[in-house]
Amino acid sequence: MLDEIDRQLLQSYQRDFPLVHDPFGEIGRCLGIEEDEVITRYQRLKDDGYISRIGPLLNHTKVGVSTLAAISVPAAMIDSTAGMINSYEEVNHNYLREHHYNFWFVVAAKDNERVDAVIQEIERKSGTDALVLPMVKSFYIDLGFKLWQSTQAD
Amino acid sequence: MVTDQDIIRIMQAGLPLCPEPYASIAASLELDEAELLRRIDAMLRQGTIRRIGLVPNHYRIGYRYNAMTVWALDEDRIDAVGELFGAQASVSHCYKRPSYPPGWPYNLFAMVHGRGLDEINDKIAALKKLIGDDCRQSDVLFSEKILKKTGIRLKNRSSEHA
Repeated sequence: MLDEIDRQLLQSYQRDFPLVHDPFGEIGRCLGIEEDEVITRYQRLKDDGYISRIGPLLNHTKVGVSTLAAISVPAAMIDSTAGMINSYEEVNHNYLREHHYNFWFVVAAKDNERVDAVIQEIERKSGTDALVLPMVKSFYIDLGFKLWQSTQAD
Repeated sequence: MVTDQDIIRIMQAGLPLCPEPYASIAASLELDEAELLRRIDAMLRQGTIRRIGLVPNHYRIGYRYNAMTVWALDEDRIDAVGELFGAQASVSHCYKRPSYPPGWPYNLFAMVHGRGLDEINDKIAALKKLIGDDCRQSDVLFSEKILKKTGIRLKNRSSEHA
């Protein structure tokens, strides 16, 4: 079970993680707990799978190009198609969704040529045409995901 | 010469959970800690790094459902609706994307997360109500299975030349 301090540790440091010599000490001073406890709690939250990692989130428009794409595959081909799409290291997200277009994936690479080549290979191997849906404009204000309505950390 | 890419590569493995994590990263790059902090700060200012923070596992925390909501809007209404949706706490991402009518008429995408189907349906109903007549057509694509989710990473050196 997560207590209020766990929730604050998860909620408040999705952005502006302290860029100082002792970031966990700094967090402890903000929350009124010892540095050791901050580290122990983060280790437990990581071991229990609540945290994927602590690190930089890259701006994909600055480090390369990427696009969302979708294809429609019959039910009998879902498993083999999942493996085929996942095998590309350029694919960083791949979701199965309940829709005629059932495979939704993001292809990211250093340039458009490589992104196009990966999509064309996936089209050829799956025998379908992909919907290619690059981002035209973002309306999203990146404040981190609001995990709880009630936490004092908001 | 330590490049920004070298710094990003080592950091994206995850900050070590020790009292002086930046000093530990700096040491492995043979950089000064102060220099490392300055370089990270510069990348944040330039926008190469969007933010530094923990990446929560939404699914583990209880957000078992995510819905990709898609909306067909008149071109001149996309910006207003996009900004409205983007400002909602229920929306984690909101993007304008190309449409391919008639098969795919949707040009605005908004991701909604929820701990249960009721919660997610309530959030979607609230979005619909917000925009009223602006929407000609919309659809909701629930996630059935996460097949892969690794985040955006720079490749490792070893695979870069592959």
